[in-house]
Amino acid sequence: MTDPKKDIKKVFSEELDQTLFESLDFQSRLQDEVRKKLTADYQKESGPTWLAFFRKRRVYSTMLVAAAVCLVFFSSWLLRGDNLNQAQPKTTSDNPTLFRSGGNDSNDPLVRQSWVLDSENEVRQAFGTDVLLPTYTPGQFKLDGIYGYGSSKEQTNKLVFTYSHEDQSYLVIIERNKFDGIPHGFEDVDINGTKGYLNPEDGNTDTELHWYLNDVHYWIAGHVSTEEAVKIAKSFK
Amino acid sequence: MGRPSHKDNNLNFSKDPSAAIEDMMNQYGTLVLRTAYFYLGDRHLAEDISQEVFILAYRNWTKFRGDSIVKTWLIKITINRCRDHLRLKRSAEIPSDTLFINEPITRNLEEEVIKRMNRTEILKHVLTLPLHYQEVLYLFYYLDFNTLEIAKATGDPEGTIRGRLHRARKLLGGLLEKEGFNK
Repeated sequence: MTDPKKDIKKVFSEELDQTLFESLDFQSRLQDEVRKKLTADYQKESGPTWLAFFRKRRVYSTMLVAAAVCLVFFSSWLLRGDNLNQAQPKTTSDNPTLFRSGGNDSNDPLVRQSWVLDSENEVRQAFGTDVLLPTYTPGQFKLDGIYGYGSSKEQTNKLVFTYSHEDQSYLVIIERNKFDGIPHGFEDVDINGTKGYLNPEDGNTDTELHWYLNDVHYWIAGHVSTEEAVKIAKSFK
Repeated sequence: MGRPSHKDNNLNFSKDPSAAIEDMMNQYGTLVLRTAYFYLGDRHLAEDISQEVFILAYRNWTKFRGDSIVKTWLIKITINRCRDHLRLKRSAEIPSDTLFINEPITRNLEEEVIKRMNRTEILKHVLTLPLHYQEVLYLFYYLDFNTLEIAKATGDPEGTIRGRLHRARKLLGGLLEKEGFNK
């Protein structure tokens, strides 16, 4: 006699492998790309490759200190030249892959230009000085990045703030659009005198909170409790 | 290529993130990629998300306390990243339509894949079920997760998952019975 669960599992898994997942493997090309990105991150954080090489091998000797002193001296001499400050605006290629367009779907609404925005000032310059920004970040969450979207940097009409802590994450999204109606099934909540809409608690850890102010749609979505989401919303200044 | 091994043992992974990430990519890379594809239905996007998952895993490896097995942890990161992407995509499409919280994978599939899928015995039925049932069936049958692992991976309480899985299997069973599967 066959075990129904075993049969369903076996057939379902085979069908997934042969239909949806055919030739979908995390091959060496993808692994190499991860390594490249990690190396680039490492070099960015650790300085030049040769220094990272020594650091990785824990060669914390007097020689290295002496070399560092020499390097500082040499660098300060070089810095007198005009070959620095070639700051280039960051573009989508610097962004986490999450926000890059997927595939070749030209209808994908994510296929818009986007930028990394580095500071509150830059955000306000791009989106408008009247925009309210979050000033509270719960617990151990950390801001990963701020991304602006629009037809050009000057015409940024959407901001996405990404926050994460270990494997949890949430987003703060700010976009220019008019009040688009009350989301279905949401509960009213007060956000500093403005009506907000919060998804009801249903045992799910995902929270969504929307509110509109001066033709700007603000929303918070992700792995934060409803209390924390309201606290974040109330912190917008 | 067949499915990667489902065996997991935290002790097998080095404390050094550089070494651990190699083992994680070798052992679970394909599962992470396929899970991202199951959620998003877009190969290129699934590749991007899966790379991001390993970068995040590398950065957070020293903080990983071993509350779950590595596989569950990676799948949890994958699911969260996919959900982030879907939220963002939804925000660009219909900002306040909560009925559009998730989208069916079939929406993005190529025609040839849909044709093949229509010839399957079980998959075609699974993909007609509500999305939270598809999710729980995928995690239970394909990833071989138990209800506790599914709860950890999705962030839902285990009781909710148990109920959801029960209803999903019942619904699927009804659909399969009509076709005489496993009778």
